[in-house]
Amino acid sequence: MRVVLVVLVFALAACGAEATSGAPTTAPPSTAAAALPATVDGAHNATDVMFLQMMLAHHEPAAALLELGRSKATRADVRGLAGDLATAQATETRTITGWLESWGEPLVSTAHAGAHAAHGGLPALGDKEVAELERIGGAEFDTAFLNMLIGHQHGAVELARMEATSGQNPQVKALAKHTDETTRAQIRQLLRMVAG
Amino acid sequence: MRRRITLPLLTVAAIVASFFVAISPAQAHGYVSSPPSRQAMCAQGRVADCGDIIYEPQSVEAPKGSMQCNGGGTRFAVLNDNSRNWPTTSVGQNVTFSWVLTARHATSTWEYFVGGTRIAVFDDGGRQPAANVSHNVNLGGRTGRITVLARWNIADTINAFYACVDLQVGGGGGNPPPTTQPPAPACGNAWSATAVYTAGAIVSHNGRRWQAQWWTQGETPGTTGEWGVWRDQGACG
Repeated sequence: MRVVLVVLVFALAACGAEATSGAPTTAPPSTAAAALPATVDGAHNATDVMFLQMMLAHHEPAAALLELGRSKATRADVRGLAGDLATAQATETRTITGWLESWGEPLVSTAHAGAHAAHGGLPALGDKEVAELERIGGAEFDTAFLNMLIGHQHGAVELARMEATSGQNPQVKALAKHTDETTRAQIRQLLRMVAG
Repeated sequence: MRRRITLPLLTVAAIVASFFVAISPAQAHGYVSSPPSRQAMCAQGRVADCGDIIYEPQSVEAPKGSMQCNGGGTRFAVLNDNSRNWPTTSVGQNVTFSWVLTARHATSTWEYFVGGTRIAVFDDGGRQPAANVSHNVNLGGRTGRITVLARWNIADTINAFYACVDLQVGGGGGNPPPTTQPPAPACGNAWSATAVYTAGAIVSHNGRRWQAQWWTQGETPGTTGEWGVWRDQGACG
């Protein structure tokens, strides 16, 4: 039952993210998400592990940024998108955590964090940056929030493309393909929002 | 119980990771998002067939000093192709250029050029830029269609990041909001949970415009999925 629920929640969240992407040019990524199982096959390589660990590390600091956007943006479409992304990322975090735990791998890399930077890395998005953003008001907040979020999402695309090239496990590679497509659809919409 | 232990660990690791990335020179990347640069036009799908730039609009990096939209590098030559009829953004004489940064590396200067003439420079003196960077630039009385070349000069590498922004400059002063996109479609009446809607009906919900694909009642727009009854027609105003 628990497995079924996780799959269902994941699929629903993916649908929610797609519904707001407004991207007419790509196949519906929700299909790929629905096919992602809650458990994962055993065979994997170091890139698979690193990709999953770095996706967790990517989503974790984004939560505070998305919460701020959801509560403070002046535009309703920006607030709505921030809420959808927060939901989707929280669900994906649970799935990835389950996969790493089933392998007996740590959720956090034991390797030097600097080594990860060479493989796409993460933008600096910490408490200080979110606090600075919180001090901005009005329409300027929306622009600043969108630019920070776009920059952060570019990092997820880089990670996904690293996994597509060097990963081994088919399910993790499917997740990476899904991440690449949905995140670029999000970036398309975010760029249109920040432009107009 | 297990998750209660792992979450704090995750937080610590994320902080450690961002610390290392912040000082990593490999991660200095960025581009102008508003008004949209050519790479932003490609990444948002307004210009098609751009090649690999759609995956990484933040990576137009090349040695300093070039006046080309791709920085004179070996990649992304499409950005130099003026025959692509790049969409313009309508602006006044004062334009605010804002950047997407995927990492914030020590910066010497930000420069803006039109037709080989530098029209603005902002000197950061080797400091790390803020998380949000925007510059107000006066176009010096230029009107009509122009292309602005923006250069982000990194302090401790030989490289810069390049972005060309195509503008249609009106005569007026001030800084009107960019109008690159057609005005948002008018919102319909607010969606009602009790009303009956038939195919083609338009409603607004959460700041977006929705069109019913068939008869419906009590189904909330945004919850019916991509192939469901409510089709999202985008933000409306």
